Parts: sequence; structure tokens; C-alpha cells
Amino acid sequence: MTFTDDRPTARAVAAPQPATGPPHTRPLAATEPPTAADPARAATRWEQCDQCQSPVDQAQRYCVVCGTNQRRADDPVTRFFVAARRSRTAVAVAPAPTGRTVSTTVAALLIALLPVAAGIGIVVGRGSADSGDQVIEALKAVRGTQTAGAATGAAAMAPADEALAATNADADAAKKAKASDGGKVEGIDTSTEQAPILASGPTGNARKLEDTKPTKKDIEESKKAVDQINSRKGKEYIDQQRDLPDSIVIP
Amino acid sequence: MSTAAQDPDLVGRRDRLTERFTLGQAELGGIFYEMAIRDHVRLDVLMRKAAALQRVDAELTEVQRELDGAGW
Repeated sequence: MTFTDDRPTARAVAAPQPATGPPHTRPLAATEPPTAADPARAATRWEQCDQCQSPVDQAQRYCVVCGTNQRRADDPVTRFFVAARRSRTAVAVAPAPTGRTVSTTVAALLIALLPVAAGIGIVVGRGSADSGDQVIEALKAVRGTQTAGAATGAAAMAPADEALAATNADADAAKKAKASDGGKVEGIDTSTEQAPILASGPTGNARKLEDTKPTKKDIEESKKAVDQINSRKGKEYIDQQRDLPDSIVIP
Repeated sequence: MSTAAQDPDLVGRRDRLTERFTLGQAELGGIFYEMAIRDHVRLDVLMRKAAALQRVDAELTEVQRELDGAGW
């Protein structure tokens, strides 16, 4: 088979061209090292092949004697592969945000569960304290109502009030039941219970005292309570504060 | 062929061989180009490089066959 190519080949144009032209027009390098008889080629700077020490042109990418790549010369193929590798690495790194999204979701879930964990801690920490249980029950009732209230509005707050009132009633009953224990004010029954209630709490009611007149019984019981307050010290003094009547008449 | 459950070690080896083969082929072309423009084509050098490339090619074919045969 015979090839015919009328185009000027590198060899055809290489010979008459000066040594400073582009690579494809440069003369043969390896087999004809510079000599003193050829001043144009002698002016060219020559390198040596790392493998076979043959003379190679500065722009020569491969040694034509041993085929070794000359890393000093600029090689577009190398640049292309390096760029391709970098782009592959960038694509491989790109899916990383998915993992971060999952971990962020888990972190958000853990943060959302913190109040539940705190509630459990309170229950465990309080143990069997009656008042603590009542407070927790009241908080649960209020929380449940608030959750529902987001959808139903102010009307949903009524069950919460009922739950709180029920809790207060339980607290009052427990308070009366414990009245005979040590450290409590004994036999005190305030007649101001007939006064209207301004506010309710787990530890008792706040009543309106304006325009109310204490009875003789109120005065005697208040005096008895004040005496007991003055006679207690230390922890007993603190404990009795929880069982004082709603109102004490100052003689 | 199932590509989802292929042996990761084998896939990595296949990728490395593919890279070596691609670079070797480009190098063989570069060497010939350099020789041709300098009128210094040395067939023995080209044949040596081609033989090295053929070994890589054979190894790559074997690994690819193993991957295809795995077929989980």
C-alpha cells in the first residue's frame, strides 16, 4: 500500500527553517548534535535526555532515541489530563453536602428532643413529691393545650385553665390533708375564703382583701399563725411558709 | 451487568489501568509525532513502547472480564 500526501511535511519544511521556529518546523535534534560547522544550530540551546543522555531540543517532548518523556517541555496532553483529573475530583467531592444535610437534620431532631429530656429529668429528680407531680401535670396540660391552641385559637385555652384549676383544687386538698403533720400551722381555717379569688396558683389562692373585715376568729387564728411563724427557725421556718393561710390579719 | 455491587478494589484497579492505558497511548502517539517531525522514526523504540502498552491493555481486559463476570 502506498500513501501519497502532497502537503508539506514537517521534514520538508524543517530543513531550511531556522532553529527558533515552532516545534514542527525545527530540524532534527537527536541524531545530529550541534557542531562548530553549523553555526545556526550551534546557537541553539540543547538539553540532555535524562534516560539516554542524548541531546534533545528544549521544546522536545519525547526523546527520539529512547522514547522517554521530557518533563521540561510544555505538554498539552499532560495539561489536559491534569485538568480532567481535577474536574473528576471536584465532582467526587460535590455530593458531600448531602451528608451534612443528614447530620444537620439529626442535630435539629436532637435539639427538638431536649425539652422532652428535660421534662423526664424533672420527673425523675422530683421523685414522689406530690406538689412536683401536680406542677408537672399542670405543665403538661398547659403544653398540650398550647399545641392544640396553635390551630384552634384562644378557645382552646379553656381546658388549660380547667386543668390548672383542678390542679389547684388538688393542691388545696393536699394542703388540708397535710395540716396535721409537724411543721405546719395547726387548725387554721381562714374565714377570708369567702372573699373573691383574684388569682390561683399551685400553692394557694390570692383573694381580694379590700373592703373585707376580719372576724374575731380570723384575728385569733392569725395571731396563732404569727406566733408559730416566730417560734420556728431554720428548715422548719421555711417549711411552714408553704402552709400559711391565704391571708393573715395583722393585729 | 450490575454495577451497583461491584468489588470496589477491582473497580479501582480497573480505573488505574484505564488511566495508564490512556496515558500510554497518548505517549506512544507523542513519541511517534516527535520522531516524525524530526525525521528520526525508530521503530524499535515504538515497538517497545507498544509492547508495554499491550501488557497494560491485556491486564485491563482481564480486570474488566472479572468485573463483568462478577455480575451480582
